[in-house]
Amino acid sequence: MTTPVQAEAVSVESLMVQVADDFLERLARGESPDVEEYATRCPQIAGFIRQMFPTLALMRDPPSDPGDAGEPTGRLGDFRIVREVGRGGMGVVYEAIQESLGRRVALKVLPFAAALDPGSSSGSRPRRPRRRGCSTPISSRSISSGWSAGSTSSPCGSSTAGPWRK
Amino acid sequence: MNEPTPDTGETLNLLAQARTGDRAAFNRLFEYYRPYLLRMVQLRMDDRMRRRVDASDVVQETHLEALRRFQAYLDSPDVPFRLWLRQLAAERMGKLRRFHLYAARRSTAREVRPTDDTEYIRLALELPADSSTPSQQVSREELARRVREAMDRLDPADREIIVFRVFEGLSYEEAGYLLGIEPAAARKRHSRAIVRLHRMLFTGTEGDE
Repeated sequence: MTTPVQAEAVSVESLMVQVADDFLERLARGESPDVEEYATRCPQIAGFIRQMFPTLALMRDPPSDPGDAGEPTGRLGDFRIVREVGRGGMGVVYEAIQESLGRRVALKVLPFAAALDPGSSSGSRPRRPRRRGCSTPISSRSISSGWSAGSTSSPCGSSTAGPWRK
Repeated sequence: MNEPTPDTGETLNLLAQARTGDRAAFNRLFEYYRPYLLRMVQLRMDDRMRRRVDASDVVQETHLEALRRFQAYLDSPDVPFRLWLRQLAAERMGKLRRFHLYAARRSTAREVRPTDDTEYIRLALELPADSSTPSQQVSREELARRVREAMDRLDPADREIIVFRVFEGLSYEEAGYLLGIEPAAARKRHSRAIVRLHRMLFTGTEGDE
């Protein structure tokens, strides 16, 4: 049994979460909902709305990180991944475009290659190349010229950089 | 207000297309969830990791791993798709964190203590805000500081649901799935947590009245 006072408290609380949910859904869709509009529509919880909605917007706001802005899709450094070609015990091979040279390559990616390189940085220090593994142009897989490689040490062992042959 | 199901209709359509052998479907799915994954990863990177790793690289690694395991997922999708991606990203983060803890212990004598997931959320609020006037910036920073403190004082269960729902923007179905509770129970928990957070932030009282 709930007394009228309790029932009122429950309904105020459920109204709060209902409008907060609506607000959050709109933020998630990339809208900028107007806090005052909610406060006008629900005067009984206007205080809550005016205090809490800007707070929710702050918490929901994706942190801006210039290093992550505009990252093109499906890419790994200089390479744009086109599709998976095959996989083996040492990693996965992708067909990719090496954009600086404008050529199609086979890119072998070893597990955790990019992210684990302790030399990489998003700060002001210049980056070391951190692609581990190597690539060869698909059009001439048996030729060992024209491969690029970076080498790192990491907890999963060091890699040998060398031409990849099919 | 109707809640989105764990996987939206569009996601289910693309998964169905992928099953028919449409290779572009995977990339469209991943691109759809990339901003979410980036957000989820950024939230969980501490300063030390941020100096060494780009969140976008973690997402890229997740992309490759998801591509590698996609067929197995299609064969038996036992997790909603977004949460499957989230899980792959979380595995990456776990490996990175263990590695960086190890590296930090090795390079400095001071003790580095492992931290739980939600502890990193505090750091997200320390990131600079974009596009605001200096005075807005100050009030925003002040509010962020207070939110951080209040989040620290919240009960872990309250903090968790707020992280899922507000910071990550998961639906109640998704949050319920992660917590092993019904969506309605997740909603109830979130409702309580929001009210408690509001009290802590603005009325100076703690817990239930």
